[in-house]
Amino acid sequence: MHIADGILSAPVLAAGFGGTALLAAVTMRKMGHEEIPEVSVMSAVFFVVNLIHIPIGPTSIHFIMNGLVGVILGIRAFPAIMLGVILQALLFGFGGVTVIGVNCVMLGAGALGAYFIWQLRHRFPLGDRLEMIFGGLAGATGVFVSGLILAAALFSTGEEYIATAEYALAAHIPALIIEAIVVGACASFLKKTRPDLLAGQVLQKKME
Amino acid sequence: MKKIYFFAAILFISLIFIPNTYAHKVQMFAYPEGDNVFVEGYFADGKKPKKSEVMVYDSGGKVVFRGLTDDEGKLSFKIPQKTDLRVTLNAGMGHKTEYTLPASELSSAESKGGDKMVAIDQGASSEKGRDSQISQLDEAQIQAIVEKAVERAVGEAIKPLVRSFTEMTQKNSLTTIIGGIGYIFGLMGIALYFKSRKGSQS
Repeated sequence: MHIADGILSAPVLAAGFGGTALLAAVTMRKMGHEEIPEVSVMSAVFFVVNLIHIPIGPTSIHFIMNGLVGVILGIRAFPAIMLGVILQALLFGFGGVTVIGVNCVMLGAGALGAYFIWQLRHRFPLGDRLEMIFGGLAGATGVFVSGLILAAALFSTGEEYIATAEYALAAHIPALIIEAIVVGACASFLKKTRPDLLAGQVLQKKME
Repeated sequence: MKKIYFFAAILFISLIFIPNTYAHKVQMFAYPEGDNVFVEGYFADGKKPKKSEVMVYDSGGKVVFRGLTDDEGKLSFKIPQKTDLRVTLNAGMGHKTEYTLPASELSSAESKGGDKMVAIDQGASSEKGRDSQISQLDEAQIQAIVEKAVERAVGEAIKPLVRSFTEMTQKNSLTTIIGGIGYIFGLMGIALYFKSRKGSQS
């Protein structure tokens, strides 16, 4: 789910860089010492996981995992994803250099959306399966929000892409389901073993 | 610090899968074949971009050809004009790639690939400066035919080589992936260094 060079128009590319700078400035404020290694490791996980292909029937998909990054890092997910996207573009030509801004906003906003959904779990105490359900929803949200932004970016380039943009949303449904399962499983596993790793746990304690 | 071990474990598990890694990225070959240009697109994981739009631009950026690939991701079209041709392949969903065929490659292919009259005309105006006199027609013809045959045979023979070479250069290598992870941790080190300096000063 990376947009390549040469598709988007200059204003959209500029908006991407502007949005990235703004989001980075907001999400990196007051980052503590102990958060930097966490962000780096999740950034590395995101970087690698995007390159792994899972064959499914005749086709294959790759993980995006921005939902998982959101669930673990909260708003610090944005700098982690930004770093991952920049390195993917520079080292692998994944996306492209001019599109870094748009790709950062697309994948980073997915992570922030996932975190937002993840935080909603405090309002719906569903018992044992709470983390699994909201982890799953967060995983799906990560893909869905990014898919929406992808579609919007493609829409902006003109009519010939309208069909593509609609198709883009439909094509991400398998990824959405798989991410939901994986992130849900991760969240419920972490809740049992290392609940301190998940984002927003402190808030939960305060509310109790 | 225990947190770090856990993250490191996630990373290590991810690394196990690395041998299967590919960029999900569309690639393309384009080369002149006789007086046609042959275009073949593929995804790094072996899928073919079916019914993808191929656009060809001349050196001035004007569209000179437009077409769709077949189910094999292939397309061939007649050389529209002898300038540098920029061929783009759009596989949809933000997957797009481009390749520029230099005019020099096209002109040599075209002069050998046309019918006999074209070949003679090209031969006559070629850099060898030969006049298009009737007496030299036979020689020019033979030369054109031989060059055409050799061109085709060599082109056929090196096609797999070109393909595997392109695939090789574009595949993600383990080294690059590990390099990327190295960058991330290097940046983390720099960030922590500056943070800690700030902390000790205040």
